[in-house]
Amino acid sequence: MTDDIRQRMVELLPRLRRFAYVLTGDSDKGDDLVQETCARALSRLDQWQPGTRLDSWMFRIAQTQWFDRLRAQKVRGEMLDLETAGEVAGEDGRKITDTRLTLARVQKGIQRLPAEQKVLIALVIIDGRSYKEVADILGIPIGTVMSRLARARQNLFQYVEGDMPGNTTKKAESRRGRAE
Amino acid sequence: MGELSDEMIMAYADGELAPKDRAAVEAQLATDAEARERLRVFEATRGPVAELYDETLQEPVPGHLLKLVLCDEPPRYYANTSSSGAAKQEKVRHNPIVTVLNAVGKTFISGPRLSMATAWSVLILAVAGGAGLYLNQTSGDSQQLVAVGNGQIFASGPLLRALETVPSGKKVSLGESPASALTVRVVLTFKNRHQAFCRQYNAMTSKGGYAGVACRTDAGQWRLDIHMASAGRPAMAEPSKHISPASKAATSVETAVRKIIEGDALGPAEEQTLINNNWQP
Repeated sequence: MTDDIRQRMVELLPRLRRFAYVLTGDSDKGDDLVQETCARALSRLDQWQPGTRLDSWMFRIAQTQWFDRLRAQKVRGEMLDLETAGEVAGEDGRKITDTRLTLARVQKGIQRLPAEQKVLIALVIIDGRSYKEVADILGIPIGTVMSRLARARQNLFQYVEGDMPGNTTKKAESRRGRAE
Repeated sequence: MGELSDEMIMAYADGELAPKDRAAVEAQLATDAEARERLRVFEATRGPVAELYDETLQEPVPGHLLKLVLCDEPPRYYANTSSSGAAKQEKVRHNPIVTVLNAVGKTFISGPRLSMATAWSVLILAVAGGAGLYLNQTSGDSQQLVAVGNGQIFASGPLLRALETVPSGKKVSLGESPASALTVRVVLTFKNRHQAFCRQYNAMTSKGGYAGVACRTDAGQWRLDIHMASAGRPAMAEPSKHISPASKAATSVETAVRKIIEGDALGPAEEQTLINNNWQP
């Protein structure tokens, strides 16, 4: 039974790593988060309800760990300011090579989002989960999922578009025009 | 329907609407240029963004994550879970599956600092009488793995070779014929409280799996401080009531590691240096 779960966890690792990469904006930090997530999940296997989705359970643990970590950083005053965080995210090996929509560019935009919005982008857009599933994972009403997700995407759209060569930074800084 | 909300338009773009709502939104979008402009934002932040991340799924998963999920928990985790330690001790106490444990283990794990010495005495007592039995029962197969000398049990043959030379996390197949096939994976290397090098291992033979911890003596032998039948993944020649699921054995071995480890596990570089130097620090 345990071996079976471990095997299924292994199968989830690529998705979990992608989720952590989106949240942390960095491959190494992402893998640290995945490691903490797996260690925690393994130590609480008895809390997982057979028959429920293992992936949702693991993603819930991952986002909880991530929020905990953010909080701890805040307490220790280690929080990078948003602009710096964006720069760091753009420099982790995935180079911005052209003027099209690139992974680096989108990652940079996502890193500028507030944490609550970032999680929604990671779960709905990148992992492809339904609103309902995400509401279950995060333990929030589906209406909240939708309103946060809508704001997240309007923000992201502005950030990424403003980041394109030829667009002025002024546009990026105009902060979600009619999104309010 | 009044003005379309952002959420409604977004749900339309995401295919989250029921057919009836979908048709209604579609009709309204057809006549509302401003709403179509808003739709563009949600479409642009769906498929095109998701696609960019497809390739990240193809990246190889780092070995340390695989190792963690498949066979162990990192020492850092042991150190952080003192509160659950009591529960784990209980598991060990009631676990009848320990088949071999060096009698000498008692002296080196029951230091004054260890409040769990009680649990360990139980373990040791439980196996003190059983060790000989175990060796007789499984003569043939496990004699390749263990040797008895001076009242203690040591790794021998392929297990000894693996402990001496194989880096943690690497699975190696040893043994010359299918009948003597042996797969060994060292889980991690660490120092015990007496500054001896110890290695946690899993071994799989044609007769079953074993898990244990071996510590290197000054004389250069690997003394098995715990060596347990762990699982019947391959066909077990003689199913035994002493053999329990892998998870229990793993938990017990992990608990054992937690008790005797000093500091963190050794890193790959440090470990490789030791292997190259025949374990001379």
